[in-house]
Amino acid sequence: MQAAPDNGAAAVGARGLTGPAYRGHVFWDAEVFVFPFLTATHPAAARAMLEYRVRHLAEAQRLARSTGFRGARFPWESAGRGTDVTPKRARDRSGRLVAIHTGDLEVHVVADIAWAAQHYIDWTGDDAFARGAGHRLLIETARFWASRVQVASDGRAHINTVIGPDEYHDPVDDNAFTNVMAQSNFRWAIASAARVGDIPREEVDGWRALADAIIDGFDPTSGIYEQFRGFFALEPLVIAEVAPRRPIAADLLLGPERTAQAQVLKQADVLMLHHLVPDAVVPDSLSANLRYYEPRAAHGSSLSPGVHASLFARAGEGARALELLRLAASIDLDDITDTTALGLHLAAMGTVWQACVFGFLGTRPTSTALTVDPRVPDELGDLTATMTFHGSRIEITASATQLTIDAAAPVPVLINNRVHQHPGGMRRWNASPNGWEPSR
Amino acid sequence: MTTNDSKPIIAALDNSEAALTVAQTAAALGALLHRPARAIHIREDGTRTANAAAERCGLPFEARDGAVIEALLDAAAHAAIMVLGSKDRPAPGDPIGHVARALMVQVATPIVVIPPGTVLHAHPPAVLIPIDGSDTSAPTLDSTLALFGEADCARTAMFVFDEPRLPAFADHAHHETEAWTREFQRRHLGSTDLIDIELRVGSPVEQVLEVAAEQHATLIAVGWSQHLDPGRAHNVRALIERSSVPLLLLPVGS
Repeated sequence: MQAAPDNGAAAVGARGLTGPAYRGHVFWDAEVFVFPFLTATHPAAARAMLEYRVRHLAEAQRLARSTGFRGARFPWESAGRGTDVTPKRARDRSGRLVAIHTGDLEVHVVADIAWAAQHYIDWTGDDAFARGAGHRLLIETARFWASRVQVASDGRAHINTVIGPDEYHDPVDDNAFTNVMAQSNFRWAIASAARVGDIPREEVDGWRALADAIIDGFDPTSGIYEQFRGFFALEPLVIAEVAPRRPIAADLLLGPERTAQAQVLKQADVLMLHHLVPDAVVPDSLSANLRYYEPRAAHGSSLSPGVHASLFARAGEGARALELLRLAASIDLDDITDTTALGLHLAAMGTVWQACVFGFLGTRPTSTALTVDPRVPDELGDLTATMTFHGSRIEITASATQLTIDAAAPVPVLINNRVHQHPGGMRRWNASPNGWEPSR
Repeated sequence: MTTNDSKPIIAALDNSEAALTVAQTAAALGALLHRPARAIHIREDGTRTANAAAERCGLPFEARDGAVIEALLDAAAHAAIMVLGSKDRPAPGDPIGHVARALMVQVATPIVVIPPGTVLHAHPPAVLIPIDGSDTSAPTLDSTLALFGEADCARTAMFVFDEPRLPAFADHAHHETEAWTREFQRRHLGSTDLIDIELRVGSPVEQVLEVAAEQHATLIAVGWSQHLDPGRAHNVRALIERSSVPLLLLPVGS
């Protein structure tokens, strides 16, 4: 919170203001992992984080142009000036000088920023942002994707030569996360264009066509998304069974070349879709993908345990969710990385909050209501989170058997897939075989 | 110029083909560390080879009578560093002879062990200091730096991520390595800026030998607890068996 003021522009580096590690560089960590907590609890600080991107929109447009694209291409790593500051080469822990490709290829950050803008709009209902700066972010990022996708002769749209969140595989084609996030980016931009009405119809129709044409890698037979084209043909290696322990940096254990040829993930990749954009994936596809991908995840990123904790909570696997939640929470408390002295892992801390709020409490904003769908295991007892939705303070407490929503003002909440007009004050629901029933 | 304590470098010469390498190493260390160097030999089966080796290297030579181990223990107690061959008699399967073993486990003085395959090169002096991040790391470095003082010699620490030490997380490898290295230096290397650090992944022995070869190390400094019981000092044994560079064994944490 110290890293994001309530006004101006906030560039939240990977370690915030808590230490010099990562040189203060801003990654997707900011929008995807730190931002949601601030959006729900300190919207003004979240707005300042978005303002950092807004103020560097021109730089992002320049980067897009200089690399042969249109719209806004936000850099993978940025700092005070908003330019790409990703190192090109560095020594790894093997002492080898290796090329760093993330700056050139990890373009999902563009859609991640669009996601943050949309997420902020949904949480806050900030109409001025939605029609102003937020609109520009959504439109310019969609324009980037429109120039980045390639439409094949069969009419399907592809995004080739990228790096997804699983950086063990570099580069890949049609990374499901990147593609579906780009697809969502188009749809947010289409909605924004309809709201504001200043984008030519032909351009919006083009985005709609591309969104419909993008390959998402979903295999209807297995119910599993292929992480990228060719992933299923890689060496079938279940890291949960072959590694001496997890989490572990699998690329160091197996070597980067072997890891790149195997079905070993650094962190959630396909599953990040279920975490960030659950409405954009095939309904009820979480469990199958969680069963397939989690054992293949080395959790070699500090972002991985918390995200998986959230997803296990949504899948109703409370014990595993709690196990991973504890791991995520201990990253700095136990100095697992031996680098906490150089700054806290803000993004990992963000995943702890997300596991509690998105995962156990099942609380997410939509444009019309706040979804509340708790799945709190007995062992956790009562879980309480306080947040702000569309300007109103709300406190949600849930256990395995009871749900309480204390709202400072009337607020629409989506419970049991139905919108209730919460009148304000405290309301209770009890768990029943049919879902949550109002307490009498 | 000699150091204040003026303790000498002592070459313990047997009357074998290893004597010349031992004497050369002691002479080179004496010159590097600005300490007097001399040779002693405990008579068993003639003195001519040992004497000739000392003479070739310009070392004062002293031949003593008596029990070998006891005499060398006594000499080592008055030395800054004792230099000796790892194997006084060929014994297949064990890289460490009985005299070297006795001195290694009993003497508090740093010992430079010359493995059988040692080849001395004319490279500039460079000491490689493998440390494992345990409590012995700081004493190993402190002892090495104290011995080498202001000597004109490159000093490189190295850490090997073997399987138990593989990191759980490596978020953005380039930044992570930088941060980890910085913190490792702070914790284990103190404020010294005399030391570079090399990182490697894999088997410690393999990696130490590889880096020693890459960097033309003329000495590998290893902290150890002076236990050679079965199951202990695996890396020290393996280095003595396989290194082509002299090993400086620093008793720490015993």
